[in-house]
Amino acid sequence: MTTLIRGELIKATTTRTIFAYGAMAVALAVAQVLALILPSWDEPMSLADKTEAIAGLPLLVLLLGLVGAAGEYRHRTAAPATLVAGRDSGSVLLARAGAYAAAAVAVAALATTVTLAIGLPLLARRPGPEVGAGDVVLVAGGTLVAAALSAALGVALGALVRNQVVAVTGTLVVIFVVLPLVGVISPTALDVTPFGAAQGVAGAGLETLSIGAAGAVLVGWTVAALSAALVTERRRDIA
Amino acid sequence: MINEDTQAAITVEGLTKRYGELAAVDDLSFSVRRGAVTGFLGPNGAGKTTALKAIVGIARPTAGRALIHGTPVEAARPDARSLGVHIESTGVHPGRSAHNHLRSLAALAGLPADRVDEVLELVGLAQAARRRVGTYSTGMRQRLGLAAALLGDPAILVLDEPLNGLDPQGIRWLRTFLRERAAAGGTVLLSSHVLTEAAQTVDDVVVIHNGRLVFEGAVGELTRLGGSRVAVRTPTPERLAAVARRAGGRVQLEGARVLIEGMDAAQVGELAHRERVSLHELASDDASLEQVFFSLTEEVEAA
Repeated sequence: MTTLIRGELIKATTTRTIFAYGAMAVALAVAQVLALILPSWDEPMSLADKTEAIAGLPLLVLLLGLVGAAGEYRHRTAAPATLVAGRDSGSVLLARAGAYAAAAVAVAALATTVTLAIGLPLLARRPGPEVGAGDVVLVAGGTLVAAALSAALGVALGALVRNQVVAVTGTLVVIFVVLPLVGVISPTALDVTPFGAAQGVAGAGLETLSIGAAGAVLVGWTVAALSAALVTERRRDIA
Repeated sequence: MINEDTQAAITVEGLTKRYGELAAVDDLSFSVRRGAVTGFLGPNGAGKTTALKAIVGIARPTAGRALIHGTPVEAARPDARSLGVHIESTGVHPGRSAHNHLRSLAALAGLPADRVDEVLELVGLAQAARRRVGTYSTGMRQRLGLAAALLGDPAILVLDEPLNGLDPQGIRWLRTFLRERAAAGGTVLLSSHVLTEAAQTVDDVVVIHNGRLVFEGAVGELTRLGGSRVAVRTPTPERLAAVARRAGGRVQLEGARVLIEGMDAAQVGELAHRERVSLHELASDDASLEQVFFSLTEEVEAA
């Protein structure tokens, strides 16, 4: 499996896509920090709001995994990978999920570094409770875990849908149209969706779930999606 | 114990692949012997690529099976060391360089990274290896596909339309390369719809049409199906025509050229010598593979 993950990691990191996502992650991290900290500068900010300001953005790396996995079918690169490896397509898919999880952790680590470098000095000058080292470790660690799981979830969704445009459009529709509607009907229901749970793990703070519980929900969604993708992958033609 | 020397390298048994109502491959059976280049021929849409995908294990047959050295391909799970595949529909990310593409495949196969430079050199892509594949010509992409198939130096090569897009030097290089591999005991199965080019490369042919087998055998047998004739140029064509008819040949006169069926070149040469007829040119004029192919597929259409 190590050789498979290495091969898939080379694929994941040798196009411009990974650099584009890295740049987007940094830009969004800066925008988030500034948008959440600078307004109402003189007013006190709660600890929950402060940690949310430096929370990660796992949905971006979910799209990284999704685009990468669906791209394997768009560019017809899934078949050569399976052929040279001499392994079943399910094993290669699992390796792909592992590779994108690792790539997502790297992107998230870069974005988190920038977030903390800009956010912590600003938060220290903002009225309200101080963000302690333990809080920072929890948010940064949660962000990396959420990134890894979200990217693996994205790979599973990309492998299930296979059509890159449909997969990306569908995910964006769910995030920006379906979930807000769900939130209107039942705000707490959002916490148990994969998208809500991922944000909870990354430190956004959920109403009904602790970080640990959100992590368990996200692991459940990721395992379920990967299992469905594995079963489907083994039953479909690779090319 | 199975003797691998006599066993077919690839065996296809009753292979069928349906997409809904459409049977892209229909009850196809043939075998590919070791140490030979086998042409997998048929017009566009005949089902060649679909059949090749099922043979190498990237498409699931609706019925039937393909065996590699006697083992079903699903069980054999051949890797880059035993089976090299270049199918047009399997590709490369246009934003990735050829070097990185092959590096990822080498890593997936557990092959040493320096093998990448070797195959790039072999197919003549070393100079362009760091360029993004999106900037490559069709011929360069073909060479890259071949490089990927050759990464593990496999005993069996399955190549889908490998001559497409290659320049004359590239075609000549590939033809020589494949002949050398077969001479060294390797097995090559290559598909083509450019029948005249494939005929110069292959030992055996498998012809399919509408997903069904229409011919399997040596390339010479296929050519002989269309009949052979001898083309002769002589200053006395009427005299040669007369003596050839008396000897049992079927003769057609085309000015100074005489076409004789039912006799081979040696028989015609002996006859001319005996009858003191001067010859300026004497050549076998076998029916081209293309002519035979068209007649075979027309027969299938008619049936």
